[in-house]
Amino acid sequence: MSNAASASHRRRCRAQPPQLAERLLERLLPPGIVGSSILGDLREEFQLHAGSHKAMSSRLWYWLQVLMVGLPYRLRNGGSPRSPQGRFTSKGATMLETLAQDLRYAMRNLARNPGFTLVAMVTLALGIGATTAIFSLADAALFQAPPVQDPDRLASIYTTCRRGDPRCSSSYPDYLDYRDRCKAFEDMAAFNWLPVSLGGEGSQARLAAVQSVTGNYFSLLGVKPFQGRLIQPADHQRGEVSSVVVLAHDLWHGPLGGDDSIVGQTLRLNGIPFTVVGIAPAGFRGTSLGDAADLWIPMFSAAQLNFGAVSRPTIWDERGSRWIDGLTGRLAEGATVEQARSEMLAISEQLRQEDPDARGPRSVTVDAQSTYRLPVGSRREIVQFVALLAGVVGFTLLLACANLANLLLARAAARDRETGVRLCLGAKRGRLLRQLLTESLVLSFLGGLAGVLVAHWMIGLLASFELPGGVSIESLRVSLDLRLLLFALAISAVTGVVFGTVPALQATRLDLASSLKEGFRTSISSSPQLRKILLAVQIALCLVLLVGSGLFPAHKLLFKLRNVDLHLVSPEQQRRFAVGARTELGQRFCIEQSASGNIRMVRLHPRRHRRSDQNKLAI
Amino acid sequence: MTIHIGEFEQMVLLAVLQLKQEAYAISIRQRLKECAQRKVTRGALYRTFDRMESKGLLLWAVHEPTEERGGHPRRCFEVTADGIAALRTSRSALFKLWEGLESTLGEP
Repeated sequence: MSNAASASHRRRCRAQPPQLAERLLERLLPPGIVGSSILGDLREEFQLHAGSHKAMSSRLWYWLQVLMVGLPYRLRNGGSPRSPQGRFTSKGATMLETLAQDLRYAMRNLARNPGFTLVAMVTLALGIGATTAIFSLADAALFQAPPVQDPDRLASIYTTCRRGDPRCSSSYPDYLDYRDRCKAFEDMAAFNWLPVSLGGEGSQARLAAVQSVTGNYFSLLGVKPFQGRLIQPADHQRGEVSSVVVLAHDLWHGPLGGDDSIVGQTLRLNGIPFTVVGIAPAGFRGTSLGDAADLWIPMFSAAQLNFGAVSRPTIWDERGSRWIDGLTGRLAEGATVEQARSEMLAISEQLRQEDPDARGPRSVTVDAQSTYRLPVGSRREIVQFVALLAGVVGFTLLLACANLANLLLARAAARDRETGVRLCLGAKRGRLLRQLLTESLVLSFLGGLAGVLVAHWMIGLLASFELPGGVSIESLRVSLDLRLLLFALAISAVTGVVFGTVPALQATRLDLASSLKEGFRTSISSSPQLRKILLAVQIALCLVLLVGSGLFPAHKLLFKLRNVDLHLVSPEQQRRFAVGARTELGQRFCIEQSASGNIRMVRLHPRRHRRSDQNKLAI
Repeated sequence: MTIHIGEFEQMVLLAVLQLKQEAYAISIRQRLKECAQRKVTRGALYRTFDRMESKGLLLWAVHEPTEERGGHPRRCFEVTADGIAALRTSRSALFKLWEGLESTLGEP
């Protein structure tokens, strides 16, 4: 196409209004000459508009006309059938027309009373927003399945320790025997947590949580790689060290910059080079709640990292060295957790009898993973904490509803005169009810919209806090739950409807003749009894919330901010200690070079390693 | 029977009379904007046309479709005899109400 032809084509296209909008407008406008002439007027104006504005602006302008010209036509005539003459045949106001009138009137009324509208909206927004955010958190913490295949068929296996704790770690021989002897499990994988210093070639080192896993870990969970491959059975061979590493999607996307060519590159873990073989799928950081593995390496490779007992070569054969943090089993087809439990108990009994030194497992615990996703040792605390939070926000929503009800009743009382005049002028009871109902629903809808913003903001805010047991809320990936939002909206809408229409019902019982004589000096819808009851409910709820807040150990649980500098020692004291310690260590152990810095301990297995949020001086 | 009209209807009728053969929606809207400094929404103007037509104040005739209008006709308006009567009644009422108020309203 030549330049001139192309320009002409562009001009022709530019002068055409959006086809879909024009077709829609055609449907909305009456047929015949009237509708056609309006379409012609708008086409003519569109061409004028297109001559002085950008194409996009003109198209938007035309769409706006669909709303401002076409829609009012349809609403005014209620979408009723049209006569061949091109005029709408609807007689009087149809239901849609009345609704449109009510909506306009409601919006005008709300705009006329900005104080009332603002207070009601803020009340609803706080109630709906807080409820939705906290219930979304509860859903993520208590009911969300781990991001693996068939989570219902997964179970966690623990060995009872000598102190009697039923959920302790296991030894490597324990793991092998459990895996090989228990027929109720199709397969079983083991994992262990390690903190490592992660540094790429020439990049700054950072602490990372590593899960060292057996070769069948990912295949057992049914997790597919985002890129490259995951740890395979071939990587976990006794006597062979496979220095491969799989990255968590969050680590790759965040701190490592989302480099697509990272697979095949080398990362240094505690200074040891590991080859990146793949990236785990987004959202997968482990199977337990709050698990946040940054990297996965084969379990036998962990020995290279020089981390405690794991680097001792004999540890793999020691029955009594119970260092494996977790065992995850996949139930065989048709097998139940109860069957697996009884079979595992029998196996632990056999192992105890077989071991002459009585180092066999005292007992074994098998938990269904879908129901016991919460970290060991903190389950009850987390459930109680989340239930308490849910209770508090539930009360807050009730309080918001009571507050809204009182506001609506007070407003209805202030509108006695208007209601009375409308009744005197012949307004029907149903019409008045519908009007008040529309107003309440509009208010609820606006409050709900503001509530979505509050909920979104609160979820973002919650991410910086922790649940008991050191479970970071950020790791739960809490998202706005639509079902809960709709539930909270429905509650507030019902409140609005009920308390918006009660005054109207009372108003229709008014003796108009006597009220007219008295010039509407007496209140017709002040509902003193109802308002008193609501006030009492509000005070009672406030009291419950206040007392609850006082008893609520929020300072320990909710407001445990990260990175709080406790100022236990001054920076100068820290510096002097570090220099002294480095000198002393250098002299005693012939260390040529050393460094010091402030680090924060990463969360390890909650039972074996207690998390500390205080800054530690590491050397 | 005298038909009473509102201020906006009065303005529309006067604009139609002034525009004569060229009285259609776009030009009427433009004239109202120029003379009365009133920016009328298109929806409101079409609603007013319908209402005034049903009251018998306005009539319309169809002009030939043009390419510029995408093949759609133009509806040109005329004021009916009832419309003229309504304007006269309205003007007369206004004159009567204005009488003797020139000094109060600061008019010459």
